[in-house]
Amino acid sequence: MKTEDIEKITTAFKDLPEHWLLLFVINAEDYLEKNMAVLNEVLNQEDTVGVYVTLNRPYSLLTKILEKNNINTDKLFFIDCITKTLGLEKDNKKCLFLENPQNLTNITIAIDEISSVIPSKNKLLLVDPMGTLLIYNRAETVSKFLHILTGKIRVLNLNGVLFATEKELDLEFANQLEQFVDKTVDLSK
Amino acid sequence: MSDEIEVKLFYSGKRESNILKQYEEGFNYLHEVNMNIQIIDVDKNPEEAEYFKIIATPALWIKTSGQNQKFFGLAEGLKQLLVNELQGKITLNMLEFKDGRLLAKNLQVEKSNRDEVEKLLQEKMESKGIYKFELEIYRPDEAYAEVSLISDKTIEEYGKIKKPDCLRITAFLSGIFTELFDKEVAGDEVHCKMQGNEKCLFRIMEKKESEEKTRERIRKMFK
Repeated sequence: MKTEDIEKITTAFKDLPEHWLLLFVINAEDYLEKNMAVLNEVLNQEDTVGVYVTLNRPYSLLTKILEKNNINTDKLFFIDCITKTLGLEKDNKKCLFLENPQNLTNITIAIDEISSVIPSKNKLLLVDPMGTLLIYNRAETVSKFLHILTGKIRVLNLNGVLFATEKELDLEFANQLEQFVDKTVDLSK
Repeated sequence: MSDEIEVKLFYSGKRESNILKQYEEGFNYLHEVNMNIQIIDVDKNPEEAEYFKIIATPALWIKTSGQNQKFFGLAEGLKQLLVNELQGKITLNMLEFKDGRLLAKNLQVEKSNRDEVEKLLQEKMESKGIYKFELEIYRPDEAYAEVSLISDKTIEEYGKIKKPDCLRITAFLSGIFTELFDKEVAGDEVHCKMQGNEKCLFRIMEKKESEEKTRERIRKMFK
């Protein structure tokens, strides 16, 4: 990864308001590497415990990737919105499996409930990747969800990191997302 | 595995400019598993298309263990590459869902007209190897439909499974009806030809867990 990108990731988490929401836009070719670098940076912060909403990567695979990249999954709870679309999966102590990524209300409820019981003052919400929402949902539904999500972040005293690939963001959605976040970090170049 | 595979995608940049976006998740997945795909715009590079005997676009040329395969129409070729692993299957379903939405979006039809919708979908489905498509129940106002069909794929596997397993068709139908109903819906296969039934039957509806059930499951997680 380029030094410039590493610097962008490090500085992204400086000079932020008390509760913040960041958007990382990443090119598809380096998505995994840059995604892991961001996670490493943000989860290294003291006492951070995260809720990871995964929209396109199954929990079983995601945890393997995270562990391979030396990311401590003990600090994460997962909301897996995709595995059940292929069949049944039983919840465990670390992961809630939702029916499908169309279930935006249930995703909100899950974020709400899990964040409320996490024993940490430094709670983090991760949503990866935002573009998947637009595959399974209509644009207006995703827009409502973003409103609710940003509201939740303030009410629940969370910080948030949203991921998106460069190509999946059409201009309208990108503009909309940018209105909701405190900062957009472009790692796509 | 991926080292032995060579993939070339031929498309027309002039006529099929949206295709890279439509199948983006598939290309990303291939990239992640180190299966590099060479993308060739035949308008800019007609010589290469001619060399590989590409007579129509989009087309995928796949070389595995010395064997060459050509797929005209991108989806089927990509499916060959994606079907093996869990992430591949998820990606494939996502592409089917997108395909379904795109198909329905372009239908020139009054969506409340059941017969017209059925007729148009029948025509479109046949090109995808799906036959005897019927709208058993069609209630756009309630965002509910039941669909029966026969697919090429299920005929090949006839009688081999115990539970319904046409996941790709389920995703494709879910995409179609998301557009037709203008509402987020998901499908379930109720019974499958592979179980020995005459046809596959799918139910499409808003598939939501009750809020209370979600909360209850979370409470159990933290007990």
